[in-house]
Amino acid sequence: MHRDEGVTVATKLDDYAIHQIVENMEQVEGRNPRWVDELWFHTGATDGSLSVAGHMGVYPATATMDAAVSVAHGGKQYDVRFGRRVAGDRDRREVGGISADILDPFRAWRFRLEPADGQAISFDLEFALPNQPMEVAGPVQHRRDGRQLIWDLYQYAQTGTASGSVTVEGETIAVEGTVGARERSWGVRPVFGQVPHLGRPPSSIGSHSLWLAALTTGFSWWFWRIEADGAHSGAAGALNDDTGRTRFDGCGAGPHGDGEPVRFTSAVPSLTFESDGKRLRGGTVEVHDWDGGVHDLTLKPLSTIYAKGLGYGHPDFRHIEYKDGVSQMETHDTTDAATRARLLDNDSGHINPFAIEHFCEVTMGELTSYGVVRLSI
Amino acid sequence: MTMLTELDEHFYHQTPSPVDAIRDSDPRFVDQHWFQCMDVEGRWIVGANWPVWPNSGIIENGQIIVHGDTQYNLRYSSTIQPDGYRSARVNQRVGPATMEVIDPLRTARFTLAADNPWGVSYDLTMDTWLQPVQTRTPIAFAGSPSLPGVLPYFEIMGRWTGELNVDGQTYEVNHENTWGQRDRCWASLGGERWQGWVGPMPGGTGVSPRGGGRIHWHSHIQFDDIGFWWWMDEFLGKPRLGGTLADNRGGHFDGAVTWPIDDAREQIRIVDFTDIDIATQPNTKKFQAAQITLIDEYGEEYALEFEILKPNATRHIRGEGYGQPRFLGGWQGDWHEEYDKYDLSDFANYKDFAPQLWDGEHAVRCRYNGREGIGHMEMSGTPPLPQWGFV
Repeated sequence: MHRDEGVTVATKLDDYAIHQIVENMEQVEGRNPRWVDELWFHTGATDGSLSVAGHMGVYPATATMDAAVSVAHGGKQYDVRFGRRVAGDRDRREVGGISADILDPFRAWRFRLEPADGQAISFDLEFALPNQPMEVAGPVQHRRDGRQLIWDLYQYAQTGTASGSVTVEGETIAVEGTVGARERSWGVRPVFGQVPHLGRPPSSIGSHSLWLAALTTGFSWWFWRIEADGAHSGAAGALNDDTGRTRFDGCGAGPHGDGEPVRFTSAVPSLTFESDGKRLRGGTVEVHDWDGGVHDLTLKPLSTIYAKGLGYGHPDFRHIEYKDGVSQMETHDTTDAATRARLLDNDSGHINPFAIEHFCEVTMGELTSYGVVRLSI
Repeated sequence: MTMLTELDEHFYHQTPSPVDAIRDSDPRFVDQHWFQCMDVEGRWIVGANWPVWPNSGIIENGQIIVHGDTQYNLRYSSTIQPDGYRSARVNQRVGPATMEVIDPLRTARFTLAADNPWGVSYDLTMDTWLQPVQTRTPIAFAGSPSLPGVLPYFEIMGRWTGELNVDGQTYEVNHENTWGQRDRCWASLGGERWQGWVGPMPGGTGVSPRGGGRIHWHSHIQFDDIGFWWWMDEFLGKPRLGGTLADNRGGHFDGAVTWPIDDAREQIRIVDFTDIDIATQPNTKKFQAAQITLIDEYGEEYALEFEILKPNATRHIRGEGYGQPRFLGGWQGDWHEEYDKYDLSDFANYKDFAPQLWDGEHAVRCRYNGREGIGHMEMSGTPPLPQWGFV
C-alpha cells in the first residue's frame, strides 16, 4: 500500500483486477521484510568467450528495487549494480541504466544496460523463448525450521536464445542466437537477503544446491536439487521438504501450447568440483522422468559468472536492503586465483556462502546443447 | 494444470503463488470494476459492474441502461476458460460486453454489443477529471464476526466520450454532455449468496451497517475545479464515527475533497457533516432534492445542494445483480444470461426493486458556492426518520 502523508493512495496497478489479497497492490501478504519479486537471466557464447547475466528484484517491504548485471569476457568479470526507491511503481522494471521489458509474455523479453561514462560494459539483448515456462510443481516452496520461515517462494524458469549486442571496453560483440535461461521467482527467500539478519542458520537448510536450465532442439530442461546433510540425505523429497531429505523438483517442456511438461523425479549427479567444491569442473547428471525415462546429461563449463557480482553475497550490495540511488561498478581479473577466491568467499556473513553460475555445454548422447548451471550452498 | 498467466511476468505479486491462483482460497474473493455514466440532461444513465471471482473461476457483468421511464437490465455470468497465457482479470469480456483499462487511473473503456432483446449498445470511454480518491481505511463489513469482510475501495470521477444506442436513438457522448464515475474494489465480499451460511448479525450482512433510523448516502460530486466524495451511513441518535468506514458502532463515514487530476494540491479529508435535508417527489418515496454541509479536517464547511436531473434519472442496482439470489459470486453454468426491465413511470412498481426511501443511484444537478456541477447519489433511508415524516 502506498501511503502519502498517512492516507492510502491507489496506484496505477490498483486499477487492474489483479489483486491477490485484500490490500492495495503495493502491499504484499504478511509483513516479512524478506519478500522478493525478482528475475534473473544468463546467456553465453558456445566458445566460452562471453557470458552475460543479470538480476533485478523488487522488495516491497523495504520500498526498494535493485538490479545488477555481470559480463564475463577476456578473463575479466565486469559488474554494474544499481538501486532505487520504489514509490508506487513496483512493476517499472528500470533501475539506473538496467531495464527488463516484457515484449510478449513468456515469448520475448528484452534486457538492457545503457552505456554510461566510465562504465566498461553495456548491452541490448532480446530473448526469444520458444518453449513453455517450467514451474515448480508445488504451489509454493516452503521451508520451515523451528520458528523461522525459511522459504516461501514460487518460481519458474524458461530457456531460449538471445540476440543483440554486448559492448565491453569499447569492443562491440554481436550476439546471435546464443542459448540462455531466465527465471522468475517471488515470495519470501532468505538466500542472500540479510534484512534483518536471520537467527541461527537452520541445520535443515541443506547444502550443495544444483540448479540447471538447458535448451535442446524443441525442448527445455530444468531441475533444482538441494542436497541435504545427514542420515536421510539419500531419500528424495519435494522442494518443500524440511525433514532432512534431499529436495528435488524439475520438468521438461516443449513449445508453447504443446502439452503439459514432463516432470522429473530425481537427478543423480556425478560431478567434480574445484575451488573447495565451489566451481564445477564437469561430470554427468542422470535425470529420471516420471515415465521411467533416464537421461544422461554431461556438463562441461564454458564460462563462469561469480554471482557476488550480481549482489548474491556481496558485502556492499545486499538484495532487499534499502539502497536508493546506489550505483556501483567493479571489474575483476578472473584469471587470478586470489580474485576468484575472493569472489567465492563469504565475506558478508550470508547464510549461503557463495553462488556461482556456469554457462555449460550439455550433451546427451549424440546431442549437444547448452544451458546454465547455478551452484550454491 | 499450470495457473501461470501473462500476469506472472510482472513484478506485482502479493503472495507466493501465481496471480490467478489466490493463496486465500475464500470463494468470496472478488476484484471488481463498476461505473455510472450520466447524460447531464438526465435523458439516460448507463452503468455496469464487472466482478471477477478468481477462486470460483467466474466473471460476471451486470448492465443497467435507464432511458426515459424505462430501466433495462442485462445480467451475464461466465466460467473463466483457459486462454493460453491470457488472464481474464485483465481481458474482461463477458458475452457481448467488454471493458478495458486503457491508461490506469486515467482512461477506461466499456462496451456493450447490441446482442440483447432491446438492441441496446454502447461504446463509452471515461477520462479521469479529478484525482482518484481512496477510502481512508478499508471498509469493514457490518457482518458476522466469524466471517469478517474487508474491502479496499477507491473511486474516480470523470467525463465520457463515445456513443449510446437505445430505443432507436443514438446519443453522441462527449466531455460536455456526459459526466460520471467509476470505482474499484476488491474484497472477500459476502454477497447475497452467503447470507444463509452465517449466524444472525445485528448489523446485517451488507457492506454498510443496517437498522432503523438509517440514512445511506454515497456520493460522487464533480465541478470543473473541485470534487467531493463521501460515504455515509448515518444512524440518527447514535454516535457518528467521523472519517472511517472501518467501525460499525453507529455511524459510518468517510469522505474527501478532491482536485483536478493534474492539480498538485493534496486532497482534504471530509470528517463530518451537518444540515442534512432530503425531499421526496410528491406522493412517492422517490428522491427529489437534498442539501448537506460537509466539514473537512480543518473545520472548513462546504454547503452543497442537489436536485434530481429528471424524475426518473435514477438507476436501481438490483438490475445489475445486487440483492438477487443468483448473481454476484454464484456459478450458473459456463454461460448464463438474463434480461428484465423496470417501468419507472408507475411508483407502484418500486416495491419490487427499490423498496426503501429515496432508493437508488440518482443523477443530480449540484450547486456549491456559485458553481454548478453533476453528481451521483446512491441513497436510501430506513424509518423511523421522523423529521421527514417517515415513522
